[in-house]
Amino acid sequence: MLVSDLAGKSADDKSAGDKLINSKPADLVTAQNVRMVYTSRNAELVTALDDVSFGIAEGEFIALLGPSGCGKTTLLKILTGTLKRTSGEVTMRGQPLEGPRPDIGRVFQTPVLLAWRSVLDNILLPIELGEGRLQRRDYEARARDYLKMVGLEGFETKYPHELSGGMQQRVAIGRSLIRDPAMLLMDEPFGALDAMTRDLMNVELLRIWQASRKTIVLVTHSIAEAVFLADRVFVMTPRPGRLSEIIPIDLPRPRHLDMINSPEFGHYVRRIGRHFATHGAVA
Amino acid sequence: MNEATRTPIEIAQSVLLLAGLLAAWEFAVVWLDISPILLPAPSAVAISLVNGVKSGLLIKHLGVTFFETMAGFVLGSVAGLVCGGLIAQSRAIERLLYPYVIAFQTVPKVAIAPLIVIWFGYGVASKVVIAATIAFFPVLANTIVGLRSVPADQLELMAAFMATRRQTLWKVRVPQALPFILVGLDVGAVLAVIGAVVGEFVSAKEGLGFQILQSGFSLDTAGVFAALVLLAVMGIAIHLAMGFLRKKVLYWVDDISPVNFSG
Repeated sequence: MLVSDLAGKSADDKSAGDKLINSKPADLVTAQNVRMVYTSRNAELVTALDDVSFGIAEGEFIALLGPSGCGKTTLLKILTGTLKRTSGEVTMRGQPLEGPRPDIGRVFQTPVLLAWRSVLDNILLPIELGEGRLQRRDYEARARDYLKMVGLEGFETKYPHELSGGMQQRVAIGRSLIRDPAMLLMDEPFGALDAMTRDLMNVELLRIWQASRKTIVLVTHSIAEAVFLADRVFVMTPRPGRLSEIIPIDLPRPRHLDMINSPEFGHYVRRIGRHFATHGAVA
Repeated sequence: MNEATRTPIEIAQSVLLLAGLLAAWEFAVVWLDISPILLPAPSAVAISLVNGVKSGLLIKHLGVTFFETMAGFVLGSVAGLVCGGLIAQSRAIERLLYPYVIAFQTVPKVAIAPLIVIWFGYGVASKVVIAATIAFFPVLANTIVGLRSVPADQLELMAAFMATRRQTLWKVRVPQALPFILVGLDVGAVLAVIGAVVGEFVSAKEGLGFQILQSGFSLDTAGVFAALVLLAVMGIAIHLAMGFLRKKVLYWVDDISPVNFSG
């Protein structure tokens, strides 16, 4: 009953329908009918994602929004290539995505820095793993540039335990940028930070995004965060995880924190909130 | 609490406590007229210790026991590291080997010491082997636990950055295991002293264990205590050295927890 209701809703929504069906060939990433089914511990089949389709253009900022258990992290892992989908097609630059790739950067819910490596060594970790230790030197200048970009100039020789949570997550962002990926996948990157630091980090993230012109897919369960950051918000609903609506956010750029109080911003937040309320999916 | 975090006042308190206990012991022996065979006064122990050191006899025995301990520790911990590394590599190897490792560990090493003496002779070699068998297990167990203790998100990070199995081992698993391994080494080194002394008790011509037995036979109780003091000093010195090593190696760990020897 719920499923057919959702399908009807998203078909009604013209803008969402267009994006869902007509993903342009020029899209950086596309997903077609992606489905993910787990076998749970008591041998039951659990559908984590069902019939997810979308296209993401180069340079776009996408927010994956939904309550816990809606499959947004699962979708992000599939896009990273670390989780194998049950069925469906995912392409990156027109080629099927079959595993992790160097042109996709990843930021996790926690910084996941290696405690025994200095800030600079942490940022250069992907280079050591991919290009080899000998190539490190060629990337050191870039690492320093990214450190500057994420506001950590002069912290090269510090160790993670000497940094605050926000600074650690900046290092993680620098690390995800070091191989100059086309796309950044971020899983609630500031979820562990306090609300004030989180707001500041979101502003920083927009600045970094504008400076680097990466495509960003960011998972969040905060409606306001999604509206503030994204070009388009992918609204997901749980049981099974579905992409129920795609909402373009036509707020001007660059965005500032005081926009949160504007009527347009409130309009988007209310609209998405209503969507969750009518689908009974507010966590 | 960590030794290094002690304040000067706390250290002074510990020293005062020791001095008080020694003084009480000394006066108790004199006033209650306790036989020196039963319990020598601390002063008598000190005299025996100084004489033994001066004559070079105690120093020679100390050197022998220290060598046995260290050789056994190195042998046992290398074996523990290698076996631990292998077992942590795959669940299949673990299922194959671990029952035997547990069986080996549940046999008291003291009980098999006479066997080892029969196999490896009455000299230094058998003591080294006994010390090694005792030092082996804590290193092995901590290596396995350490290599398995890698948080899932670090493994996901390595997967997302396309690390090979080997890279994940050396760049994440091993550093992550180091705090555990160093605790195992600390425990193993201190336990190796027990192994060496037990071996000397079974049969030896030199070493502090031999010296304790000899002094005991000749009712030279002060001599027994003198050898015990040296053993204690050696054990503490080894533990302090391992603590220093832990601090140096684990430069990224803020709070290095103390080692629990009961395990």
